[in-house]
Amino acid sequence: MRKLDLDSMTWDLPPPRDAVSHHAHHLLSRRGFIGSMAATAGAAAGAGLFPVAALAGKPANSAPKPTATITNVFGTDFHLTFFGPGIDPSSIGDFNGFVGVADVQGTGTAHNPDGTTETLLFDTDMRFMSGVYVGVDGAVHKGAFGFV
Amino acid sequence: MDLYRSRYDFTNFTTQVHDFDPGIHPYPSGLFWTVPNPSLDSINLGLGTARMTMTDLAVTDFFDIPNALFRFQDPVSSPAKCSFDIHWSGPVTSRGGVTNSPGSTGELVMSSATMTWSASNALGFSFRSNPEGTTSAFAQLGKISNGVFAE
Repeated sequence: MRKLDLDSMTWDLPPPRDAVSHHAHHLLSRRGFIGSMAATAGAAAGAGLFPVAALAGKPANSAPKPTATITNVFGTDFHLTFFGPGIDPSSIGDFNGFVGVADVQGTGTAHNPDGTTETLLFDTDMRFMSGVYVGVDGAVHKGAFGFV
Repeated sequence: MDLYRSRYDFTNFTTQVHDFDPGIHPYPSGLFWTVPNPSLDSINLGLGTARMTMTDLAVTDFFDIPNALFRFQDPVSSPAKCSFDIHWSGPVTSRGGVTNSPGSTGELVMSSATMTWSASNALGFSFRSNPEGTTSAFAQLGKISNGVFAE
């Protein structure tokens, strides 16, 4: 893989503002990046379309709606919610059911395209939602979803 | 699922080398990193236990989080796949209501989690996590109602 230049000063984006997180944990996760730069506000969700290929046989109109929580990053609205104590971590809206969040860190072995092997650090934000939801078709459906 | 070389850099992501996620559909206002049909088992809020697995899930390697959000690198991404196995093992260390999400109600419990996972991309990169020595930075289970179900 080519070398990536991830210096934020080279991004075609404004530089990050000082980190202001509503929960200290966010500074230690992938969401910390977004949270440090974003202004979050609840807003009405637009009806997003789930990729048909990902539905694995389910009718496209049974797709869930994204969370109503909107996170604005550099002027772009994402339907994204964070996790933390007292926070609904669901990535889908009009939902009733079980949720889970796992932010796990560790190490592992990477095999690169050039044949080299190295140890890398990992950080994850994995979630699930299992229950009933109102789909984009307006009907109530039962299903399970993962946030990966 | 994110990979870093040598150290974490959660501010500027200078050390991040891979970011595997399912994308945002439709971009940018649609479902965020969400896929259907994970395998779920043993959800028990009393014990703080649950399990989620997926195998050979089609994802995209955007290499780092800024690029996953704004897609400014060239190439922007590589097709990829991943598998994971997450255990919420408990015990429940605290319980509380949903207090910081307007429009949502429910109960949340704090737990502990372990995870093993692997991923590869079309460029020839592959990764397998070490099952030993993982850190549960944050683990939570709950029962949630939001939107019309919370009214």
